Amino acid sequence: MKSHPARLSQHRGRLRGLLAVAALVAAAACGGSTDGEAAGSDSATDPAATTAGAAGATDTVSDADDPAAGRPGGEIVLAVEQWPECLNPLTSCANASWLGWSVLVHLQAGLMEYDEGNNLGASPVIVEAPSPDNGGVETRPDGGFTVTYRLDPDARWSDGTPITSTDVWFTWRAVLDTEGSLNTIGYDLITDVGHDDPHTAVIAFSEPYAPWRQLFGGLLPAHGFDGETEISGHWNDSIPISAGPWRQESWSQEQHILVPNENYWVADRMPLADRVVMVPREDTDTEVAALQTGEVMAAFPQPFPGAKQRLGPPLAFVSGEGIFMEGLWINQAAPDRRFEITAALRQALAYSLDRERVAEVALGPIIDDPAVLQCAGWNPAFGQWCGDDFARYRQDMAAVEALLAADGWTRPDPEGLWVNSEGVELVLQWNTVAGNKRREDIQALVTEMTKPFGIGFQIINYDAGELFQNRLPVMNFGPVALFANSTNPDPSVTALYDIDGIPTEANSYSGQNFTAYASQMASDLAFAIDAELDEAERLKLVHELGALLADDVPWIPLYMLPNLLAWDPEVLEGPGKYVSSVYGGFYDIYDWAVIG
Amino acid sequence: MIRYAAGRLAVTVPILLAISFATFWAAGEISSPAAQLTLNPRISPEARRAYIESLGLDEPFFGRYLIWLGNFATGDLGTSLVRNGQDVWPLVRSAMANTLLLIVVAMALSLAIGLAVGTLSALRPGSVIDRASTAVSFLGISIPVFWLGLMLQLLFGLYLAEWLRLGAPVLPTAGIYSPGRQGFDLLDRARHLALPTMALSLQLVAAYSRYMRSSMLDVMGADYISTARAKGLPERHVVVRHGVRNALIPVTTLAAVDLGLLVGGLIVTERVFQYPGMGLLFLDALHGGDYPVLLATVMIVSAAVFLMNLLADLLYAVLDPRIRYG
Repeated sequence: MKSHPARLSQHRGRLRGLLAVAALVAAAACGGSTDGEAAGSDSATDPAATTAGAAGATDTVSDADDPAAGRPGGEIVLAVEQWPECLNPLTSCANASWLGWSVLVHLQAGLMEYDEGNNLGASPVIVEAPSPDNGGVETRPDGGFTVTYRLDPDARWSDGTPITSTDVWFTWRAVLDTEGSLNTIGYDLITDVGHDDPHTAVIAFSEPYAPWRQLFGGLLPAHGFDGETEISGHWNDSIPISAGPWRQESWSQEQHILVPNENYWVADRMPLADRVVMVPREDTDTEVAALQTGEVMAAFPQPFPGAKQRLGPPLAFVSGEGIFMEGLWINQAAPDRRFEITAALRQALAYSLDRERVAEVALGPIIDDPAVLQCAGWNPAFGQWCGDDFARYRQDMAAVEALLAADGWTRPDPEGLWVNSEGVELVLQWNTVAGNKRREDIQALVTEMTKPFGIGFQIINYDAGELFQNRLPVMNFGPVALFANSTNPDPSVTALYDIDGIPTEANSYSGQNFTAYASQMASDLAFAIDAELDEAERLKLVHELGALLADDVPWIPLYMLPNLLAWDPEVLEGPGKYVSSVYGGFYDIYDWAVIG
Repeated sequence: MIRYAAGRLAVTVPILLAISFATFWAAGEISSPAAQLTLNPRISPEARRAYIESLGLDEPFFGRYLIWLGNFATGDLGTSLVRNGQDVWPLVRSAMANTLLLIVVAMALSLAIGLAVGTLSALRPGSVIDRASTAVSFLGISIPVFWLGLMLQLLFGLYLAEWLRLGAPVLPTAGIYSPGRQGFDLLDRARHLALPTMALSLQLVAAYSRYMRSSMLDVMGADYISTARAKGLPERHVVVRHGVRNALIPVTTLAAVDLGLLVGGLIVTERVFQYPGMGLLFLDALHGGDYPVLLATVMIVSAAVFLMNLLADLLYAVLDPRIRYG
């Protein structure tokens, strides 16, 4: 067995040290052996770097070693806030974040993977990350391009079957052939997956596709589906074959039990605990109570007011940026608009806001020093994509006056609202989810905040179903709406800014450009980002688009909704590293140790 | 009485139809399984459309309703929209069994305590017992169950363990089994039933004791009680045979109606205690726009309410010979 270079935490080193002593005693008594892992190693955490090393000087544990021999053991009990309804990794089941966080990330392996900083690098399945330098990424003369993955010969499924290029081919076909497969973006550009050599998968794309690293995030075992690539009827209530540190012992609507995958080939990710039990605790109060009473050891709750107090000592918690960006989405095509929602008007609105104060009111009861989101489409937790282009928007009366005056607005009463040439007051209809206290608090705050600037709001709120199902898809909202949109580690923002993606009757309301932001330049840049294979060039394009968005203000970013990871430090050691991870806070439970 | 019951059942059918139609319409308006796909940038509009088509959500409303109704009438509850085609009936069956267990235990406990307390209070009006039970009853009726549930969780899960230095919760605060336990375990199941039963029972005890007290006060002032005493019957005999038996009539009908309501009325209790019953199933279906599950739960609960109301009326006649339906 090979391991990635160790990314062991201090506690793991301590535990291993104790175990080493225990193992020595045991060895003296009965001739036992210990594994060959380099305990306490603190080599680079960059997966690309570590993978490069993996081919060379990595820890190697012989197959003869008993993987359970060095395990401290114990049972970890976790609270899961939203219980997945089903487990199929391709169909609608997979739209639930918690399916990934509580099930798939522990059982599936991809070709590439994210580290705790959400940087993509080689996963243990491959020996190195493909790049132009090592010949893994090649542009073809026909306009397409090819990515070649070299698979680790040691990689194998939990039943002992090697992971081969046939599994990569099978995964591609399953994504496309499965009825109800939701996420086919990118896979539909693949023309073939060469699998002549079991340890080499050659993926041919019909055109450049920059987010290629995101594909194949969860491989499927070709031998596990009787050769059928239509898998919607499979894996709905169990994942029988694993390629992760754990394998599934059982799953039901009451609990999910994981046990170590003894065939896992990555030594430094072999679980420390004997078992993980996840139980649903869908009500936040109940979830916190379960943590306080010791019935569960850790929870990954959604942000809630009072979190700082309720998750404080004797509990421990960490917070980090989550995946949802909340902001004021401005619908330029709103049916109820009484005037054109010009760029000047949008900029003026941005200059009338104290976004620091908004973030403080929204997130202050949850985390310390909430940060304002300064870019319109990227998550600061993911790479370097998010710049600070929106930082210029601070409350500025002179800027508001200049912008609105130039746009044809007047303010007859210096204490009143701006009025356009037709005598219509500057009042914007503002929708959000009725009953969402955080959002309604923000509405109240901002309404007062913008009054001195002569900008008013008409608040009309809807329940979530009405807003997101009936109004948003057909652009019947706003002009202003407050909601959160999900982000992706890849910087592709085509869905948000594609000029053809503005939902209209003509295109049957397809697309997700919900601001009706009709900038050809922004749209072209978004597509260019998708097609640029060079990371440095891609970053430049992203920042170029970021600057353009800050000029045009299609929407006003406010903050990232935070992630919280809470645990009982008396019984559990190790949580915290993956709080901002796209894989969720429970990702590294293999590295968590039960105390006592 | 049979004709009366048949008549009542006949009236129930159109009402259930109306409820099913309203629920079907409301379910589509409130939520859809496709709604949560809207803001996922990794899902293409084409995939979203295909998903909607695959669920038949693009079919005309009446067509979908009639198909559902036809299937429902033949006992086919359909398949879940969000659980990859899982049959609805096993979901409902499991949830209903859990809910019924909770209701039966809570009602048995509540009736036993409520009737005893109510009787005692009525027999000694103005006494310490009467005043205390009145105060506790009003408290029980007034406390919202979500708050009571949380307090019970903290008390039995945290504070008692701390005060008594037990090192573990006195009672589990959620779920129906301890994490990790597999297979049936009566003791563990009973322990997990304790807190939801307490939360539910406090309100029921309060209501039943008040009804019983009031009913007993009425009955104990009736002429036939005086007659029974004048005949020289022992007081215990008078109270139990003539007092309690007659006072039970309104309480029994109330309990029967409660039984129907509780089948679907445990949403808050089940949510707080993560108890996988009909309430939790209803909530999940509502949030996920899973209308086959939603409709099945609503129809079953509605039918239960109607049946229990009918049962209450019939019980009335059985318990009180003066009442006749014809």
